[in-house]
Amino acid sequence: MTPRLDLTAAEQKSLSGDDGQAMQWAMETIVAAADAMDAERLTAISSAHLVGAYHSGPANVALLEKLLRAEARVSVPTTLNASSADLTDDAASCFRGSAGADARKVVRMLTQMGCAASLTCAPYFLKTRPQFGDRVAWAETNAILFANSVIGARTLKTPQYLDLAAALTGKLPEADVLTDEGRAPALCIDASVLSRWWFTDAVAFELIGYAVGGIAGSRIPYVYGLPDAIDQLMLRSMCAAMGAAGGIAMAHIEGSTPEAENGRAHCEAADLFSSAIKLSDVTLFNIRKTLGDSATSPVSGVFIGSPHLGLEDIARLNQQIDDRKGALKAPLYASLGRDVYEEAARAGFIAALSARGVQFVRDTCTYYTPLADNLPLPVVTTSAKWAAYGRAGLNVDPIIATQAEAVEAALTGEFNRDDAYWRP
Amino acid sequence: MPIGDRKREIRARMLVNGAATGPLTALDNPISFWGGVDLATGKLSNPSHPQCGVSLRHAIVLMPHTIGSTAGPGALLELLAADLGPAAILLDEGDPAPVVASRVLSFIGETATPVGVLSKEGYAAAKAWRDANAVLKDGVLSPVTATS
Repeated sequence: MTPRLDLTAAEQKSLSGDDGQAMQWAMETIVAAADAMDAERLTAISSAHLVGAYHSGPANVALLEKLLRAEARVSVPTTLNASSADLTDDAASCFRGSAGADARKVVRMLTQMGCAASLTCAPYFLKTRPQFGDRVAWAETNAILFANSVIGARTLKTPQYLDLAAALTGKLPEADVLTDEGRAPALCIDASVLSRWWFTDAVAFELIGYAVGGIAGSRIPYVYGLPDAIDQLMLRSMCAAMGAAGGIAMAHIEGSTPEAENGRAHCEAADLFSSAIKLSDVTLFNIRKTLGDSATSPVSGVFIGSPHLGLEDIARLNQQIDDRKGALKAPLYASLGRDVYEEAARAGFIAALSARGVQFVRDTCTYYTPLADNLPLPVVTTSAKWAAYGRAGLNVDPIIATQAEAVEAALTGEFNRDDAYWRP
Repeated sequence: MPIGDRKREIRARMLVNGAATGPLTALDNPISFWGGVDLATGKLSNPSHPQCGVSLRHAIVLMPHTIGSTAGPGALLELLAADLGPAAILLDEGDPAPVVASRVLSFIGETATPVGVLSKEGYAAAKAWRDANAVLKDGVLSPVTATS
């Protein structure tokens, strides 16, 4: 233990084993992480979101079994991230081999510890969404970026097992973005020279986010020159793409995120504006090329919902498909959490979209499923995260597209660039 | 392989204690254990990493820090439990991800994999020994010379 770490009597008690073996493991884990992060004390958290709701292997199962034997229980409200299979009872056969049974077992053990089986990578769409200033222990990179940047809640980029230890103890090391100083930007990114036509579609924020994440690395960026009051779904896109390209837990976006004024003051004081890195139209076209830029082509499918769709995303999709006639010529897979699915079902969107051929995948991401295996033709996605992981981890050729291009590709079975959006 | 005449030592701040012997494998870029390492072989598997194909198995791995998915410790735990992971991990900045994975390993009854942080100077010096056989013991890293 670091000599600098100052523990309360209650924390010491857990560490010494007086609160049982599970709590001792959890507190030892928090203390070891505090040591690695040079924290001087621990801080209380009000909720947790765990990444480990998927089957990663036998050692993970051994850990959960041992914790359960020691009667581990979470001490704060805790939700679970997307799993490795669609576990809903009416799911199509949507997993490889024993993946469904294995994932069910992991989720069952975590729910026995008191976790809610939300199984979504978009916990900001749940009723448990934290408020500005709340300290939470979230894992899942896109959600961490959204929580810190857009909500103004405070969470470390909490790695797996530290998240579980935090849920059991209700504590995290007070370090990094949990502190005021840890939220200060370290570089400026100037988007003011971008052509204004970009901002009419969320794909712009996917490309901008991917560019910003790559430039920032692990430094918190202050991004300026974008339109004011960017809507939350577009900020969601930007956060997911930043997370897929970089190592940051937070970004400030002038005119849109709640702590941007503090960020600006810090950039002025530290003279960061003079070395701002400019984003240009060429930058974004190059990102489009990196993520997947096939020309006109027949396609094997369309994948949306990485991260999981919100109710508003589904309402927009319903509107876009409703405006057009005819059956889908290429499969359109939409992934979402089970809670949002229920809301969308109550609103009538699920029935309407299913009738048109849209296939919903709950609880998991389509890149964990056989749906995306070895597809012979390019696939279309609106998500930079899906395109990046699909290209690296699956044997597929993604194309990053606008919402309209994606829907059009599903309706016609063919991808065509929408020249009315993509100006030269 | 002789490294030099002078016996040299680099002190690490240990985040998880333990001893290890193995080739010193220096990674020039950070990695994600989730999606960046083949869980069946222990080799780097992300084509965008300049050392893709390099094996981490039984090596004393010198790496800046981890990046990418928060699920990294889940993948690292399985690698270590299957005896496909590093013999030790030495970082150039404190990073809780390998620490928590190694601590889970000891909780489930396996030997914890040592994890340490080097100073900037120590990290640079250790990099110069890349691919040599090395020993990590009591927080001290030293190359195994031909005569030792």
